Amino acid sequence: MARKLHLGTVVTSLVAYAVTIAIVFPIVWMIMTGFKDEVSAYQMPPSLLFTPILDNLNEALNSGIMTYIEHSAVAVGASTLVALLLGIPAAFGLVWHPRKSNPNVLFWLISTKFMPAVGVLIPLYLIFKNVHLLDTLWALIIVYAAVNLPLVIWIMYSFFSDIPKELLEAGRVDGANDWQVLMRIILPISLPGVAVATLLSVIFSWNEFLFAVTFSYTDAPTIPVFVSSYMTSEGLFWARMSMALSLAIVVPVLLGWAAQRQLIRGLTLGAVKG
Amino acid sequence: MAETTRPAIRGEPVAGKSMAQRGSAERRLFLFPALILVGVVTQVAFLATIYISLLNWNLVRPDLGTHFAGLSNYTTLLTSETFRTALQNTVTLTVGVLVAGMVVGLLLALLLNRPFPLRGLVRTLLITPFFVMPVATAEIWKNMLLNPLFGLIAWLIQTAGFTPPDIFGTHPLIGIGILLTWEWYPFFMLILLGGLQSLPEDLIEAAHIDGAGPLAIFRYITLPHLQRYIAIASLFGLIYLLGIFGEIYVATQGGPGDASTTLPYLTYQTLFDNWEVGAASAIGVTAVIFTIIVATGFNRILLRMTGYGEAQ
Amino acid sequence: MHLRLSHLVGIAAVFSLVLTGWTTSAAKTIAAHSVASGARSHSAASSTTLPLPRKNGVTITVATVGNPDQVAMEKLAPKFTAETGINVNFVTLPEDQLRSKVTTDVATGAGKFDAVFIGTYDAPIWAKNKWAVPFTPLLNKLPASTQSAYNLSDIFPSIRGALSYNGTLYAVPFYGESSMLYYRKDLFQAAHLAMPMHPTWAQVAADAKKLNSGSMHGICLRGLPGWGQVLAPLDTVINTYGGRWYDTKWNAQLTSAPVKAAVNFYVNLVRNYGEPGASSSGFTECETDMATGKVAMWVDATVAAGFLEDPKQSLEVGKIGFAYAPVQKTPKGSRWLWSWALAVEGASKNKEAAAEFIAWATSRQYVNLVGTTNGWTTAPPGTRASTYKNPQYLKAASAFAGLVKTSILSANQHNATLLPVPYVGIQYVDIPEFEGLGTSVSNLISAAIAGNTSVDSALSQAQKLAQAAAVKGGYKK
Repeated sequence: MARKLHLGTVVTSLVAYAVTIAIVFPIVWMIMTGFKDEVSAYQMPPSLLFTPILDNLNEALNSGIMTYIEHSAVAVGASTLVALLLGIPAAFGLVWHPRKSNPNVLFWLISTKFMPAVGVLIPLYLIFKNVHLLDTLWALIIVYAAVNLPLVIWIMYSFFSDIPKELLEAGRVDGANDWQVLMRIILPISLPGVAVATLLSVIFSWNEFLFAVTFSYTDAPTIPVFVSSYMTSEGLFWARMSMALSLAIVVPVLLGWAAQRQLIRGLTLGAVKG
Repeated sequence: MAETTRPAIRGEPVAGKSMAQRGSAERRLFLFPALILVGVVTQVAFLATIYISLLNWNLVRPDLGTHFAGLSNYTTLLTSETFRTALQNTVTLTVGVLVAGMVVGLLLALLLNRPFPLRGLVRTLLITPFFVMPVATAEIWKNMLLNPLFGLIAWLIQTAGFTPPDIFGTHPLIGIGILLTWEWYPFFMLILLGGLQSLPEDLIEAAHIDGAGPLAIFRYITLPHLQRYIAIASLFGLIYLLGIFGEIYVATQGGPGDASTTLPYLTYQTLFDNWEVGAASAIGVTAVIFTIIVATGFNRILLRMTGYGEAQ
Repeated sequence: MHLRLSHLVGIAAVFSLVLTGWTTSAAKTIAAHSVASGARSHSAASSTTLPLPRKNGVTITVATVGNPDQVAMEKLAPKFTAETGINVNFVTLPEDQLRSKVTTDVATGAGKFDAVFIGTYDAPIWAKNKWAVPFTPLLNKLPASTQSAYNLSDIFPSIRGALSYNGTLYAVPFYGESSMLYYRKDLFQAAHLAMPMHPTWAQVAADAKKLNSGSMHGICLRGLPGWGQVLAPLDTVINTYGGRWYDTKWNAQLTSAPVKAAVNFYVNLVRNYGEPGASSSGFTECETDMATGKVAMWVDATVAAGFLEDPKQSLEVGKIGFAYAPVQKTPKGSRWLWSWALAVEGASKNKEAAAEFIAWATSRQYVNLVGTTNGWTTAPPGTRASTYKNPQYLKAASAFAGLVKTSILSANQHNATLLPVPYVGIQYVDIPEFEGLGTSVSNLISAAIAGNTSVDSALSQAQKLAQAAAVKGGYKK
């Protein structure tokens, strides 16, 4: 029996490694291209072994990429925080005091995601212009929070719904008020859910492109704007853009890696209840 | 629909009017901030979009002014061939990527469910495509890999002795489908992996003892258990995929012709190429109506499949 | 005495040569100029610095594309700030996104840009909509020394005209371009083929066929959707075949015989002897193909000349030959005209500061600055006569400078077709509706290039769109 397992494991391992390399290779290739010069970037046959140059990295750093990263971090961090601060209690309210309207509320929340972003671009632009929020991080924070709230609420709702009744009853019996039940009993055991909600919210906002480019000018541009500045219809830019893109994906990738354990647990428990 | 009013907190007291009444105020308190933020931002914008969709407003012809146009934007839209093509493409692309992503995700989840050395690292690496910026994904796949003259994959195909295809030229939807599947399979994989890991071991053991082969186990135990997860992943995946835009914008600009134009891309084109704000808003509103129909239908199937709220 | 006199004569001759700017010892030029006009400039006048008044503490926002010349400008902008005290913030985006963003900004009155990069296509539209303000009055507000050092009349009249509306200049060219033919001298030599300076499209097609073998493709032509992508070269082919977009009564002509012949020619040429993936190849892809030695010929923007001869960007340095853009039935409209130009936004609150920046970036001194800092092949081409009299520029760009200059000077937007037309423009029709119309038509052409539809079908659909656009825009009564 042990022998059989070994062979199976070996095969599984090899298949896993091969598939992983094939799937991840495009990203590796992109990162490698960032360290080449424009001419070698698109040379065929491609050079797997080459002397990396740091020019593109220096140029990206000198172009003020840190400012863009800062802006992205603030916009994404603040909006996610708002989404959590409003979304967790909202999901709690739905679960703790359920009503017939629960599914309707949930469906309405998800329906706000049916409109393609570009359809509300001009109305939102005009609104922000009139309240003087154009080219401020506030515009993005408000929009991202509103866009991610439905996701946060759905995920936390699933988690809260899954909590065994005994725990909650204990809270009611103790005479704890609603806030205490939420903060002391429910939230601590729903941390995986919070992790999932946070992570997805951060990733979707970080990578968001259309609103970021439209609402920002010079005071609040985020990473997607930085990456766009490398695209041009005249002149080669592959290597430099690869470097910009590589730097742009560092934050969400690292975040995802760090939290992926929580992510799996979170998605698991969330899915059970839908 | 009645069953769905119960969240899955078992045995939660529903009688007792006084308790329910007492809860209403708290419920409102907890819910309202979130609902207000979402409502103000999205609904106000949505209402504005509906209003604009009734206007004739060309952004680069201020000399023509803005005039009320009634439903003419909608009639022009619904009778245009481009709209029908866009609708078709949207459905094809969304369903295609949904299925492909789910299949790839399932296979990889099954793979990751078995123990083997370095599994943690492999899992970490396999979810990475999901975190890459969509614009980056499109650029990588379109230029670095698939371009028939200087793309890496094209070069590999050439070395193998075949002519590299011009995917984005002849089959743009397939090209976009490939890069979208690469981008989204981790989403499905994670959900399904969670589902697999919540499958009780003893069920499988029992099946083994009964003499069931791996295929039978998969068909009669694993798959039914995963139904719920597949359904949730599909619903969310559907909503997000219906609205994708950046990848098409970078890879094909909706072309050649309108072979890869989807509803969101058509909206963008109408707004920023034709500068017709009213017409673009009409497409947006139509997309919403379409998605509502699809999602409602899907939701019903989902409810029936998952037995929403049935006792655990 | 005699010697002394001839000495004086010699010095006077040199002095007059200096005054007419025939030498690049521009320091002497400006010093002599300053002495002559008794100017008081706030900064040390030199060949690379335009004297400009200080405006401390002002910040302006400039919207720009990320093309190499503009990227170089952004890197040199600190010099402008050091001289004038005006801070410059740049918003850099790819062309179509920039146009979207800038148009949205100015059409909704947000007015957060001060200076904006617009093209020859946009300038008349912006002028008509009052989105940009005339430049000359703002230039006239600058000190006399600045104005004479700047020398507006040095800028080619044809490009100035393309950026004017009703005779008033609204935008100032940053660089100008036309189109030309690039070819691999070595491949032609090896195949015993000659490329004349003024080729015809028939010759080019024949050469492409001969050189198209194995991994080498005969020619690279754009096929990427976009009114500024595939339509740019295609429209020049239509023009030179004797075709046009509209007749004088604004009836669309896209199914007329010359247009059909031109489009069939273009599509078949690129499908048979052109680069694979043509339907998604724009300027950048073709440039990559040419620079990595995958294609034998390329007809495209003159700005590529500098890139193809730059060892940092090209593997084929020294092997590239240059010729005028091919013609067929008529030379009219065979070379396009384009310029990225800077305009002061109508809603800007810092118009004078913006004008100073624009003056700085479009001056002869700026061209010298780029030439001495980054190399003369990268100097912004095609705007000023002085650039083409500058020996250092001519030496570095000798292979193509004369060709580029002649192409730009001869490209006439008002006379680009065999038969009369009601519109202005060589590679586009300068009406606001063209952006949408051109994009849709370019999509159809791209589909034809990809083989998904026939040329006839594409053109008949394009014809319908063009007719509708003329009616909707109120041109066709």
